[in-house]
Amino acid sequence: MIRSTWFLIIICLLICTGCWDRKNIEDRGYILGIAIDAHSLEKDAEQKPPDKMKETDFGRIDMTTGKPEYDMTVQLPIVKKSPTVSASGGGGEGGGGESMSWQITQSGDSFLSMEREMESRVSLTLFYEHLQAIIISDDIARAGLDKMIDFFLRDREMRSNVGLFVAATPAKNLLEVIPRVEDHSATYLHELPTNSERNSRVVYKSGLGETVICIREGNDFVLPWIEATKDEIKMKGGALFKKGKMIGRADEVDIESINLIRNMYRGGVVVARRPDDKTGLIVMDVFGAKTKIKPIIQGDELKVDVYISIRGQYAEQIGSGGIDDLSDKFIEQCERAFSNEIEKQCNRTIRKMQKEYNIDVFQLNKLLRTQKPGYWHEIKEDWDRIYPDVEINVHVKSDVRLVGNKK
Amino acid sequence: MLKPIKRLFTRNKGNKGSKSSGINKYNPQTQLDSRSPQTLDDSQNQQSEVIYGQKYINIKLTKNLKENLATIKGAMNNNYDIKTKEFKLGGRGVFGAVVYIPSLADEDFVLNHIVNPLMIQSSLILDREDAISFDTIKDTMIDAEYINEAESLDQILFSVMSGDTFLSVQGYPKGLIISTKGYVGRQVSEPQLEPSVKGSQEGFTEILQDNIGLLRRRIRDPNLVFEVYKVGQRTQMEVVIAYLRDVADQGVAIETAGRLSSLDVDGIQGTAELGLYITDNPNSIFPLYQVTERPDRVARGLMEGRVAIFMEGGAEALVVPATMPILLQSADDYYENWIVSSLLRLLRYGGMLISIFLPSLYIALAGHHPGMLPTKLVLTITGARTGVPFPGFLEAVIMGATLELLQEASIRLPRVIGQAVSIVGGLVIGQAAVQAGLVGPIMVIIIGVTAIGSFVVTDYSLGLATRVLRIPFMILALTLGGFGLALGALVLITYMADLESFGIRYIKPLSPYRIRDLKQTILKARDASHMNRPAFLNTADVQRQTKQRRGK
Amino acid sequence: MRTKKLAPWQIMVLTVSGILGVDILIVQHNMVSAAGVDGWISLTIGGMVIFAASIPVIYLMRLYPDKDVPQITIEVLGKWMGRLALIPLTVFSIVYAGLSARIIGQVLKMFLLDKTPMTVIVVSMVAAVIYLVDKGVYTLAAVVDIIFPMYMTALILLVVFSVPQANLANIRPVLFRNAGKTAGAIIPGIYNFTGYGTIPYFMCHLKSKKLAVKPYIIGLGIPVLLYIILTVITTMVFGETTLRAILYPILNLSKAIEFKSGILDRLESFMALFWIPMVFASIVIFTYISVRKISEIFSIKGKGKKYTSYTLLFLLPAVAMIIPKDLNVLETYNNLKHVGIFYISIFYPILALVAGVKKRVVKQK
Repeated sequence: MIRSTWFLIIICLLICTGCWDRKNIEDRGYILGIAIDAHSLEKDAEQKPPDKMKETDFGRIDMTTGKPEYDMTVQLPIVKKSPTVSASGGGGEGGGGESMSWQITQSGDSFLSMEREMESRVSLTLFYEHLQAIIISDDIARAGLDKMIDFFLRDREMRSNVGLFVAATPAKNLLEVIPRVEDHSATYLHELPTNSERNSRVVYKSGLGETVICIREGNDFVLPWIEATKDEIKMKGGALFKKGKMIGRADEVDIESINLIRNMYRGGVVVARRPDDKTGLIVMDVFGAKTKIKPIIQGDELKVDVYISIRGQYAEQIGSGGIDDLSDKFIEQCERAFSNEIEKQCNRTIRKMQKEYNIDVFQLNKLLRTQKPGYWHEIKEDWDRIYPDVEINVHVKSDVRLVGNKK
Repeated sequence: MLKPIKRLFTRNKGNKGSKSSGINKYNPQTQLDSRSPQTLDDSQNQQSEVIYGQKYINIKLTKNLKENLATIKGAMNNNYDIKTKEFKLGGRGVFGAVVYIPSLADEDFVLNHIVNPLMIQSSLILDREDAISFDTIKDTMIDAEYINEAESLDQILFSVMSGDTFLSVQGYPKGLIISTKGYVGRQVSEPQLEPSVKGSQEGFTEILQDNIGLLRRRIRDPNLVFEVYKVGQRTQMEVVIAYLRDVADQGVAIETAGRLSSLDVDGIQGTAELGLYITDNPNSIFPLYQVTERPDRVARGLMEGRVAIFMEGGAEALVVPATMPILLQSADDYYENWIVSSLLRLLRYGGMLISIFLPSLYIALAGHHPGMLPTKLVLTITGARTGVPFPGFLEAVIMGATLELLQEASIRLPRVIGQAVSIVGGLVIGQAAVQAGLVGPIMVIIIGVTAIGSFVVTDYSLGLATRVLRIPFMILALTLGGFGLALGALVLITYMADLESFGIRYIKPLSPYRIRDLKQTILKARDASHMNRPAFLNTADVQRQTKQRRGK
Repeated sequence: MRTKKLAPWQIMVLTVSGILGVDILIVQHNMVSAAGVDGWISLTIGGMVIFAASIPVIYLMRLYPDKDVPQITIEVLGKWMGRLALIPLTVFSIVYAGLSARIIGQVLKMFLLDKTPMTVIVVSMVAAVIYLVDKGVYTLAAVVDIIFPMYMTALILLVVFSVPQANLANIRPVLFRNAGKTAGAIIPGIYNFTGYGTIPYFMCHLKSKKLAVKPYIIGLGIPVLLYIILTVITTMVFGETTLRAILYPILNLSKAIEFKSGILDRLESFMALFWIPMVFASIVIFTYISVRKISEIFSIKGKGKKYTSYTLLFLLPAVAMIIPKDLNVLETYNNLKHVGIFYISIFYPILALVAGVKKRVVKQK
């Protein structure tokens, strides 16, 4: 009896005092996307009458520590009752329906203060666990990703598979996109790299977690560069980051080469000239590639051999009047043509990365550190100087395994 | 208080019981004699005289018939349902009388096989006057299943109250108790609580001897023993323990017998109630014994080395010990392929977990950890909950309470109105509440699935337990979220691990693991290949079947 | 007719549960901080040492199959010396249990409950622990036994899912100009296995007459293997630099897993739910041995044991909450284990030695 009384008292206490973390699911604001721009709001501090107030006026912040440096735009979903009914009808005719999301811009110098400042404008409690994408503007990226990223690592609500993207200033335009097939541009953006299994020209390993590991270890890396229209987003090449700062852009072909050399190629297309008829084209649908990199040290010289082997199917031919003549010899010639094409392409990218940008985007430094630790220990300070002149040889072996539906 | 009757009354009402009666008579005798320290007969036979209190023990019959009848009727308060019939034996001057209760005794039998031979036929057989002696009557004139001599009033009263007939003859200070039981009761019919698809459609009835017959028909083994006890100071109901002597754990049988004999109540009606009196832990919300109305399940239980308890007037049997995995088995498991049955058993575990945890899981996930859910699901739930005035917990409480009300109503109401209740309930839970904006549609789904989960739990009492457990888990989820759930689950496991059913841990064989046992309880073993009985039941006879090479 | 007998399998489970615990959340960070990429090598050597250290324990259990540690100690070292020797052990196990509760509280606050006060988390955890300890050794073993496959499955799934994220390059180069550090990290490698000494508290409740040495050895092997695997895999996923920076690598490991189209999206919070039973098991074991030691030191019998565990209900949260800053807890915890492993590694051999000498003396007489 006494026992059960105690039990009841404890339960009553729990109910009365408890529920520290509870919050109704509809009372949270699920931030889906964040765009970070350099501060650019106009600075008129005068008071305006309420009907003249603009959104940008709300975005300002009273600060004690200096001037605002960032504009953070967050995307909140506008959840209507039974969303299946009120989905934008008409299948996207006439350039998308009404927006399902709310973009709020806030300026400030630290992200936490910006977030909390935003909560003076939003009735919901902002919540990061469903964050899908962070879009960083060009100028912030050039100023240095490593400078501002700490909040997104330290905060307990952040997850490591949040996609990082770089876009031209202002990045918040990307969030304003009303995609035709998804409700929110951020989720659309998050799903975009999944096609990397079919298209090798996109950067797909761009999660917060991976990026941070690169920054911490001092490796150079690529983040996807995105461009947008009113209702469409495209991943267009990548932004090159050296020591946490963006230094340039890589086009889509470069990205393909980088993916190949870093053994991150998941599938794509190779197009080459037809070996027997230079006006025609042959196309290979690659479904797998494997890359091995072997650093060789001869005396003081470092030489890197990259062995790429790709396999795929002969998927298409253009020209030659559609004659079906796939002899073994022809296939061999095609394989050679594909290999040459890839070698050419890779060499172009390597030259660009070495000479133009001096960026070790292939992460050769990591390779040397783990495979030639002795050598790396000696040259580690001089790596920046050595890297542009390292001889990188690409050897490609392509393997056509299928020929499709016809011979 | 307790009286082990040395033989069973198996008055044959039809053909079916006749075969078994011989064995019945033989067994309890040997059983009781062979009992070692806790032996029941010696110590408790002395107690047994106290059936109707001290009052009647020392009242012995006299030689005067009238006087005796008056004593008996007096002791029975001259009740309306007692019938005495006086007659002259063989047409001569010797008076005899029978005392019986017509509603309990088979009156035809009394008149045709007792009174008639004594009154009429005896005159044809016997010429000499002195031939009518007590022994002659007993040995040559009456055929009944058993005929006992009785001298003291308590014996007589008890026999008459149980439906036997008491025959008294002028001039003898003793009489005969003749078995004439003939109850009216329900016929063997389909089990209501545990219907089965492929299994037998027989269920126990309220008549003890029918039930025992049902069981005996399934196990024709002389080692199937029945021990009889009397329970209830006033009700004096027979309680029978049945077990396979060379299979069952003797410890459990002795423990069961001990608990029955130590009972001292005025009366218990029904087997399920008896279970509450002899359970290990009266505070346990989990049922610590299996209540079944299926003879095939009892037979299977006995062959697993467990002990069954029957009671006069109870249409169910208790099977002990019962551990949680055993309670989650169903009769149909044994009639299906082992793969299907194993999956179904797992499904039942799933159902039980859902029944306990789903509402609290929803409260914890939606209230504390929306980050754990996929983004699109969160948005869907948010959309569904927009405009609902109550927080998730209250929503769950409202819907849960409605559900419980409906369930209770549909059980208590007559079947005809029950239909209407389910229609109304369906409307209230399914549509109106959502349309009125009182609860979100997601909550309706959650509560619906929860209810179905509790229906899957085969044992009704276990299902009730899961419904009770829902409440503390909801409170824990409300206050501490996922951590509260995990902690509550740990406390629940502790609680269950501490329970015992007749000396067997309630969670066996979940711990300690024994693959062989798990295969037979959590899953179902391949019928042709599990050779041994579950080891956690400590059976005396381990082997169940010899190895067969059917299939591969 | 309660049977308080343990099966050999349960001995194994108890050994594993005694060694695992909050360590599994921090061992990778500790090892990599101490020895760089070669942390797993130190850990392997430490694991080997544990097997050697278990020899005197097994010898003691052989000598006194019906007694647990405090009883053996008092029998071997005498009434007063024995009690004196037990006191540091008692303090160690109480503080260990308390700090474990605090650390899991911190983890929970980080991954599940943001605003819930630490006291509430710790007290409710300890209350559940005491509830179980109060039920006796058999129930304890049964509960630990039941929750064992839960967290084991979670751990194995974690390893399996994170294999695709692993990069072999991250643990290379092996032992490159790092031998000194690696050797220095052996002691931290050993003290992750402090729980190896808990099993003699349970062995005396064994059902069979034969000592369950094999389950004990297997039980020692599982955590050693598990720690090595987890250290290797976290190093392979995160690399040395990141591992030095993050506090609870296992939880971050589950964070790094891409687990698409699952009903539970955020795996690390979900995993945090599975660490609760694991830490619970280890706290339960350490609380139980604390209760045993306290009851032997003060010769508490019968109902008094109940009150001993109720005292711990207040003592453990007090110990857990004594350090104000979360930052310092892990450090204190490591220091505690450092001291503890030294004491334990001296305690058992000496006890075994004295017991052996005593036995010989008795035999000669």
